[in-house]
Amino acid sequence: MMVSAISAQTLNVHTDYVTYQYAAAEVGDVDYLSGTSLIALGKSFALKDVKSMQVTDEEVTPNQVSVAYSESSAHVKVAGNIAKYVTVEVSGAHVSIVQSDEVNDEVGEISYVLSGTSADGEFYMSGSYKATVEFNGLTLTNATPVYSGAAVCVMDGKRVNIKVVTGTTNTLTDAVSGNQKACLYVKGHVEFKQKGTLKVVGNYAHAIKAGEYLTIKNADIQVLSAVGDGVNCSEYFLMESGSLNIAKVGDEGIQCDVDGDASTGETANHEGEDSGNIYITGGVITVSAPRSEGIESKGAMTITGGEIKVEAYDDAINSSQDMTIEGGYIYARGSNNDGLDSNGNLYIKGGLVYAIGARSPEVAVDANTEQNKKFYFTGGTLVAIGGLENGSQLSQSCYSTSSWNTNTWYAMTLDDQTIAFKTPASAGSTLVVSSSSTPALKSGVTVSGGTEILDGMIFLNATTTGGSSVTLSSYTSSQGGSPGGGGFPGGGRPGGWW
Amino acid sequence: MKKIIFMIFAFVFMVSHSGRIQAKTNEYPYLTFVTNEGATTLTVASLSIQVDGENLVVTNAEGVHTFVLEHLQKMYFSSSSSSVEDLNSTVKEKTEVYNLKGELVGTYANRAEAVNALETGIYVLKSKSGTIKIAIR
Repeated sequence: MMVSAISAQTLNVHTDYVTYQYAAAEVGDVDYLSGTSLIALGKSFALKDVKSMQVTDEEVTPNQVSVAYSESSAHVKVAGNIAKYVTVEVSGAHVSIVQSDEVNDEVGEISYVLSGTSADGEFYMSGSYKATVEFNGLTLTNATPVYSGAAVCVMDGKRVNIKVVTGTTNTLTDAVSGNQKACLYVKGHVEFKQKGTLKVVGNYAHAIKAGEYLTIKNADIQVLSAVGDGVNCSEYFLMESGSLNIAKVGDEGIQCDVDGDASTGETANHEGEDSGNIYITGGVITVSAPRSEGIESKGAMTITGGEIKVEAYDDAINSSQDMTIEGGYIYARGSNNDGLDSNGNLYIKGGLVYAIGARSPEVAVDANTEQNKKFYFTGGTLVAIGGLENGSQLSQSCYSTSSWNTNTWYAMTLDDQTIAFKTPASAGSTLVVSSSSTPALKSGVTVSGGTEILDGMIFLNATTTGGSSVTLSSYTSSQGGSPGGGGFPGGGRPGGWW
Repeated sequence: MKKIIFMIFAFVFMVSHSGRIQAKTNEYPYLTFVTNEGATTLTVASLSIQVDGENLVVTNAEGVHTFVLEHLQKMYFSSSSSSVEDLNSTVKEKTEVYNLKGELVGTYANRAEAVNALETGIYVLKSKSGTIKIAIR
């Protein structure tokens, strides 16, 4: 019988700010050359740079680089199996990691795990292969840029997973000057994953920018402020789940543009897609854009699910091409323009849409009639303050009232439930409602129960009391887009741009 | 027969799909330094290495060893040495034995008694002196 102790022996090669970790089972021969250098798994070290080596029981996660920030310094650990493929530089808490072009499918994807806190640090990575960046409890402010002004800059044109590690809160703040495109910038396509929280401040340009497509699944992303857009990307934007809260932006809340000169025309399964399209299938999006549009697609806009609340100075939700809403809950208020604005056709086929447009000539729901496009309304529940675009094709009956009370709770009773909604402080004159059953409307109700959605702007299955009935008239497409009074019965326009 | 095949498959899967498991299930308690003069094998317990001028100074639980850098050719981990530690004799305290499921297999008067009583497999031995994982083959 042979008995022996088992442990995960690891050879740690320490340089100034980097520890290279080699699993004993994998390292093989570590060669010494002429008394001046040693080579481990193809990585050459000058012995003068090696501060020490230790054997520990710490386990090594292959293909992983971890960066632990600690105020004015950062320590990097590199798994031995990928050590020869990365070049690490550390200056204070400013970390640069360059992947060599030799990284290939045999090595696989490298993961960069970032944690800790620094009031003057950054993470810069460049490479040309798929990578994963994990935010694992990271608070990073780039006060005095060394590699870029971004807090996190990933100059990698491939797919980059950004895992916001579940249970962690992470905050990124970029420098107030520099040439960075965003506080969190990724040259390639970004896929946000896991259920942690990521807060981002964009002090110079956008808060988050992807050079290519950007998708969000599960993560809780909060743009606290941005000089430019909250989220900016190319190719396409896809929100599947999680939450995205954008506030205090200088430009659009979310903007997606075509990356190339023109759309590739490919949209099936998003393979090869470069359309500028925005897709929202789930999750919660909240946008406050006090100077520009809330959500802007340079291609098409497709909403099939989720909960979307947008308040914007300009159009709340805008698309350069067709806009299609098939599901979800949507609140879209453009305080000085349209609620929903499609420069192509606009289709509402389902979901619950509460759109608010400014006074005429703006409307709540606008399609590009100037270019012979139309608003096609075939299904769903609609509340539109400010009216609909003239010439709309309304397959589902709509009803309206020419005046409404500001800052007032209304109850729209349908066959199966009552939906309560709160009116804004100002908007266009005509209030249009529609659902699959003929609605009855009351003004000035008190809401005492129900399911709150859209940040409290709507209650589903609402319990209401009081109020006075509102007389509704059939609404025709010819009524749309016409100027009219009303909309401000409660008093003058409030101060500020809202 | 089915059970045996499954176990083999599971082992292969674990080794080939997880570097962590691979590192854990291999044992390399020795580090051998090869110089122009020959090889020296040291236990890795508390082992640290410093470059000191022309020399490589290795410190472990057994003492300090110095190698002339220019004479060094390589070092490598190994699972065996001429001075294999006698695990049976190192701990004379009450020892609890657990299997890899974390289930208590038994409690023994000392480690030697435990080792002698165990069948082939991997176990965790817990005593006042510490906890080790062992393989009995």
